[in-house]
Amino acid sequence: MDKRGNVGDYLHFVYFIFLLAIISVTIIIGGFSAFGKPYDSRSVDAQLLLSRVVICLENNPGLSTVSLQNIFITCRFDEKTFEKGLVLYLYSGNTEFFKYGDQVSCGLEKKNINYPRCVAQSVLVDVDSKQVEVNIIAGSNLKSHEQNK
Amino acid sequence: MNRKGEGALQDNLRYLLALAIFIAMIFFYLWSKSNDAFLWEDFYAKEISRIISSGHAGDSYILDVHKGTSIALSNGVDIREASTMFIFDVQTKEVCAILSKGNGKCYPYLSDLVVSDVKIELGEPTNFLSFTLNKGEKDG
Repeated sequence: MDKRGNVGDYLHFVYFIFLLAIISVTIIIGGFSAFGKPYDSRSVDAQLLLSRVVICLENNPGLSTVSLQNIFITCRFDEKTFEKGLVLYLYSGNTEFFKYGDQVSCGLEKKNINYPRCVAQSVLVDVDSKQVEVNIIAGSNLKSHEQNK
Repeated sequence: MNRKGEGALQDNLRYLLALAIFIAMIFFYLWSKSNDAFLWEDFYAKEISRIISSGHAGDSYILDVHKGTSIALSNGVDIREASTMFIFDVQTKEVCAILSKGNGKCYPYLSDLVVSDVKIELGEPTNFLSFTLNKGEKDG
């Protein structure tokens, strides 16, 4: 009788430990989903780049096709930062003013987390003394890196 | 009767002990995750970079970096000097946050501003990082 009772007790304890294990796994999964992923600020970076381009175009009177093609100089952007993962595409209809990075990948951002996060906006600006609607696509795939790399 | 009572107490103690170990382990896990230097270095580098990218020459900022300083302190980083925790690299246009020895995360910023007067103010109830944005070389 005693032995049978002990077996029941041990089974109860094993069941208790099993429950704790399930709760632990759930908390660990929750911890990974909350803290495991790096902090993603690419959408904000894309928005920041876009707003800087818009402000630059609006504050630069006498824009020309050439000045749009040389937007790094016109807007005082640093090409080194763009090399780290920025996308910028300026066009109007079939006219392509400026292209850096692969703007096609912007359309695929929902399919893969590794594609850049992008935003788009149109602005009316004077280009070669004509009012033109310039479409801007700005994207960011910037990633943080280890300090010594 | 006494033996029965002792047996029940032993049974309950076994369960209580297992539960206490479980709760302690979960608390330790969550605490270690929330104090993860890797995560907070990434956070500070990106947030400060965002501030510089959207800032203008002449702007001064004071940021609450208490969480960062407490993590850095627990990892043996000297928090009295701002330059040991936060590096603003003009050449690469990057901000680096270092909250653990020998490591750190860097993130680029979009503007060509130069960061100066970088200071850490240690005090109660929080620690602050202050800095000023100035015109870059291209602006003359």
